[in-house]
Amino acid sequence: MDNNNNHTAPRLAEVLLLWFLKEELAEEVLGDLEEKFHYTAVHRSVLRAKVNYWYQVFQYLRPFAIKNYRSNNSKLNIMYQHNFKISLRNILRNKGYSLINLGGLTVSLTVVILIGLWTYDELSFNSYHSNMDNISQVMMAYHSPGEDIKVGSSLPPALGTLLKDNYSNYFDEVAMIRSRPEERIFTSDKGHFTESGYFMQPAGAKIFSLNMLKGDINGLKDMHSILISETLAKKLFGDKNPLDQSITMDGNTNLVVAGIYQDLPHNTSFSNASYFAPLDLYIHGWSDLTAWDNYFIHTYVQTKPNVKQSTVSSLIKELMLPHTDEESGKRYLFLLPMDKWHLHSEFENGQPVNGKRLKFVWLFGAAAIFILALACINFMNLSTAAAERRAKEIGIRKSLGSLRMQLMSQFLIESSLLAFLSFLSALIIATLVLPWFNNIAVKEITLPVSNPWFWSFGIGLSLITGLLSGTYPALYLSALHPIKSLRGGFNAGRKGVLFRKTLVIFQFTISILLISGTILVYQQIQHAKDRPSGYSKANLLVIPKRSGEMYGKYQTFRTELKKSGAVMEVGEANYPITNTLGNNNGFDWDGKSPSFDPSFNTIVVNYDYGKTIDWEITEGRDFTSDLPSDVSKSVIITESAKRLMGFDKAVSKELRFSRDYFGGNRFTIVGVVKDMIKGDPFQAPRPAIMFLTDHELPFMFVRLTPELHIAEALTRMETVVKGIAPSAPFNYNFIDEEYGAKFRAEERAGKLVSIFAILAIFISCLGMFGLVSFITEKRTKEIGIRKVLGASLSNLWRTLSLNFIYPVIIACLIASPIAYYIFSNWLHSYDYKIEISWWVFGISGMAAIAITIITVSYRTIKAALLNPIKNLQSE
Amino acid sequence: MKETRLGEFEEVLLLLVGILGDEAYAFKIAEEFESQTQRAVSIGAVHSTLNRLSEKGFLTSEMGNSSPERGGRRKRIYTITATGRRVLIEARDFKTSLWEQYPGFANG
Repeated sequence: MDNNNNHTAPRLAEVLLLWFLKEELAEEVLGDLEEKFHYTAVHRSVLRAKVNYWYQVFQYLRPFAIKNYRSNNSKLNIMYQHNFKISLRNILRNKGYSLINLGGLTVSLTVVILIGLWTYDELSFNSYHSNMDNISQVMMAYHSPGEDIKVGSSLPPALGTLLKDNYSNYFDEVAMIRSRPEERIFTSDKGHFTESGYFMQPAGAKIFSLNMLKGDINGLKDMHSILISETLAKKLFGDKNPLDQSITMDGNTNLVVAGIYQDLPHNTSFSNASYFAPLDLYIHGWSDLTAWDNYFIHTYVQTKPNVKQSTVSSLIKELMLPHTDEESGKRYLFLLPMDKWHLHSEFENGQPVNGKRLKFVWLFGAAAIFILALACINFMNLSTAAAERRAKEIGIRKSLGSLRMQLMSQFLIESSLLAFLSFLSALIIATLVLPWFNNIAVKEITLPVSNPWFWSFGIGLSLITGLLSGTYPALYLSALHPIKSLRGGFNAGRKGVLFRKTLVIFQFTISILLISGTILVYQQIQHAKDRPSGYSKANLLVIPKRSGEMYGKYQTFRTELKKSGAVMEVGEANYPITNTLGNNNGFDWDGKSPSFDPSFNTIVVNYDYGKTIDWEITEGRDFTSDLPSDVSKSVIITESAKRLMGFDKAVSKELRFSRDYFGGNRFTIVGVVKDMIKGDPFQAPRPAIMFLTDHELPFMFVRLTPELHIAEALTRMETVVKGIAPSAPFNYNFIDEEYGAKFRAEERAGKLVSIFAILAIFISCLGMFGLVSFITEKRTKEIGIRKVLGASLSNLWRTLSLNFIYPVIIACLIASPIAYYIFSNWLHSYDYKIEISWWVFGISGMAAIAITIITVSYRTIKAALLNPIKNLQSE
Repeated sequence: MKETRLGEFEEVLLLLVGILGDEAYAFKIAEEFESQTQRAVSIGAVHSTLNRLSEKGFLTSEMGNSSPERGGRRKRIYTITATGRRVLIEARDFKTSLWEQYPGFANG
């Protein structure tokens, strides 16, 4: 023993033992174990003694020795079962309040589920592509002197070729794609189909990991091949095997189907592509892959796995400099990784900013959380207001020895149970309204019922909701004093009342915010819709000339169409009227400062264009065929272009252009027209210059006779067109429909905000209704006595209702400045916007107050009308 | 009161408590058990059984004196009670009566 005396028992084992061992046993057990340790150390070995000590410690893990193991006689299982039963009984006994809670929670959880799915869909954008992490798009920042830095994605084809040839140790693949989808007409023996898709280099299929159902992923190597989507294959060939079949594009090019890919899901950047055709085919005959001076290409790269995208960005930054004009500004390249394409691809002055889409994600996410909070508040308010009913229960439980934790768990179980029931009903409702939601949000979301994450998220959500709504009532109710609560006449106290009022104010603040938001969004949309567009949209059609057969026949078309009686006027231009394609800088005029080089929307039109679209001349004259000298010599500009050029009178001023795209370098301004809204109707109009040509142009505009019925006019028009160009695919679009499409995003937001507003006010009023019912019930006797003493109905109504109405008035006062701040921020991103007028908040507040008065009065008037005898009788 | 029948382990421990007298505390009892039966047992198991026997009323215990090898901690000394003694005798008598009915060994 003596020489081993310095050895001590393992500290850690001792700590463990003391952690679980009952305190009263500590001394004897530690003593026994230590004796055993020394005994073993002496007779066997120290190591053995140590190992044995651990063994002995674990052997003490027995019921009799463990702390708190059934320290008292309560059976926890039974207690929780009992809690559960009491919770259910409580829910069932107070059917009205439970329904209010259940209804509010169900509605708000439905919103949370839908918005959650929507957010997930937005955040997982493009995750379909298996190489997502390594894919980037090459972007270009324009540093023009005296202007904000602009970021664009259109690049010359030579850049992509350079990247592919000289930087192959950084990139697995480089692919160039025509910068926007092209609408083409495909013909098979099933008929003509207008489809939109992309012209792409063969490597693109690999970069975007197209899932080839049939055929080869490298199928685009041949210039006369095409990859088509599963859907298009069905349309073109039905059940036949589409592979290696021949289809005709635009009536003049034969292509062989080299592969069929699975349709790209809706949450990918290329989801609208129903075909991919070779880029070589697109540029065949007019450009090649080494051109530096034509920007019509998007360039995509797949970096090697160990290469950082930021490294490549700095490497390629200056590649454009040798090929651009230093004076018009420097152009720097960078890579935009794929995970940023959808939500982080907006730039202001070269810096990434939170774009519209990201703002919507935040906005809707916040709205969903607030709506959930409103429902939780209902639960809190109703259960604390109803504390009196349960005061006796709590008092008895406490005097029987319930610990505060046990009482709290009772209330938390109650709220979690309710939250879970609500979640289940919310799931059912979400399933039912999902198609409708998809319709509004333009999504194809499905409930991911087979995804375990979805379920764990859902259960987590109901637990959090239960805790959120249950914690305060649990703290509040479990703190009640047992003697006071058993004696009766217990008063909830002013603190509770104040807290409830604060919560009600919060609820109505949110509701009023959303109501005024709805009004403002709709005002803004209407404001932009009423904006003069500078041309007349009604009865105006555009016919894209997609076939060679339609060219060279303009005069015939024009005379025949007009002769048919269906058409008033026909004109042509090189771009559609509902977008701002075609932009150039490099213009010069007298009085321009040398460093100023703005870009203009430049379109080429023919003599009849102005008459057809009905533009409004404010100065000078329209082009006229009586003056052939107008061709390639005269231009018409818009008012904003005139302002930009700084002219008081623009007519007869000279305009010079550095290139000769438009048939010359010197032009005379002969007229000024009102600004035409071709692009975003919420933004400032693009300054535009219209050039005149006597060639035929790719877009034909047709103004129908308003007197004729549209269907009749269209039939006549089609007969004429078919007569002149029998085999050309013929389709047309109404300009007013295309124009209306520009408001979709805003209208969608408006619809969602209004739904949120309705739900918010509904949930808040539901809670208000519950509170009022509760209070009037409590004051039944008081009402009876007041009535007996001669109080009138209006007297009673006032006594009972005013308390509930003034929090709403306070909410109005709080909500108005917040709404003003939020929505003036929102309007900031629009050039063409409304002035926020204060009456909007007035109206929202009045609406909220009116709804509250109706809700409250329903209960209070009912209570005031009751026969006082009945009120006083019940004892 | 809990069940009053004795298990084999319980019976042995009860006997050992009687044998050890003033030295009857968990560690000593476990050691004695191991040396007498050649069966390994943990102190925890012995302690748990002693605890159970106390709950049944067969043992009482009180804290005794301390010793240096216990780090100055006191030990709990168990003493057999009258009831404990009675059940031991009953158990022995019961077995003896069984033995006597056993034909081959009836006369020793």
